[in-house]
Amino acid sequence: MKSTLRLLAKATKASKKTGPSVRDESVQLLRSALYEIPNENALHMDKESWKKHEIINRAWGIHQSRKQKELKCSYEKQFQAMQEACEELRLTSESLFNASMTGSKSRRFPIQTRIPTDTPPRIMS
Amino acid sequence: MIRFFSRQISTKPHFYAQFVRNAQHRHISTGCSVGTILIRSPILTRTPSEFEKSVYKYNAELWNELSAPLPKEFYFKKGSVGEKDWKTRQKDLEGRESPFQAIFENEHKLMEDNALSDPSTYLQPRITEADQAGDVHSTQRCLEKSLFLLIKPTKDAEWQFPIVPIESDQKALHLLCQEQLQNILDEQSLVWFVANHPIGLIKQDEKKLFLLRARLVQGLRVPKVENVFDWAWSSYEELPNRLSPTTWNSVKDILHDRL
Repeated sequence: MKSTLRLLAKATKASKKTGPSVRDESVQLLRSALYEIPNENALHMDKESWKKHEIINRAWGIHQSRKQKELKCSYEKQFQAMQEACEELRLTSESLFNASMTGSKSRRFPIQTRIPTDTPPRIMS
Repeated sequence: MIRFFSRQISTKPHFYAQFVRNAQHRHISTGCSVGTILIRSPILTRTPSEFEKSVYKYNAELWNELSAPLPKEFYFKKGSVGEKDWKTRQKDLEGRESPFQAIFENEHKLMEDNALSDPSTYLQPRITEADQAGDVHSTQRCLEKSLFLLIKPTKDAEWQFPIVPIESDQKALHLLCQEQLQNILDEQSLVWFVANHPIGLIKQDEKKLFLLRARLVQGLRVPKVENVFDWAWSSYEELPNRLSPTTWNSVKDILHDRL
């Protein structure tokens, strides 16, 4: 029994590292866990998949810019229609125009407005 | 609200010339009326196109590959029981995106099939019965698109937006429209006018129709429209089928599929 205890003591003493190297290692470990370096394991793609990646990104860029252009165009048309209608109203009747230009600047959407969801609500009131 | 408009526009030569030309036609007595474009905005999100879906999938896979793995040396001591346990669990997870998928796989399947015991977790289908029946009277039709209210006030009239003739100078346009909508819709539906001024104009041989924009807020389910012969909630694609060509030409720039 005593010999086994001695053996155990020897083994534990031998495996325990002491001195400044232990602290350095643990600090290094903490640092690597806390401060993750982005793109450290960057993918190394072969030429073919890199080309594909480029094409995909460019296609997405084109798709997005097309959408933005359409949206911008639609907004401009709506604004122009609004301007013309208001001008027509102003020339038709000054008092009605003034009545329509009321309303506070801090006007907001009503609170009961719902935003789009992925599935419809169970109870539609 | 566009307070600065009057000064900005009247200095433009285009509008000044028009003003001089048509001075005699500009009075309310010459058949002006005001109408409302009542919009039921989309209830569901847009389905992404095939291209968009594939790009999202590609980016998700790329993100998974690029993201830093778990720093196992930090969390598990080398050779410890915890590390061995974690390694065996990682082997089970092979091919799945996250541990949650492995743990909750069965329940997730049950949830998607609406087989769980709690009825509040049931998902409703995106295509409603009104969609399948093609019921134009109900607002539950195209949940992804916006619907616009069209009315046939009498049997022989054509399809039009809810219109009120302007009689006098005294009552503001938005009040007239509000009253008319109150007549037509029931009490439960809440309508919110986006602005008090018109957003569009329809000219038809000296008759002017100013259009105001309103949204259906509460009462997204409008069971009945009263005091009219017939009504229809039509989407943007169906509008040219119902409206007259002059109306459609003036209105097609203002409206949109998902408004």
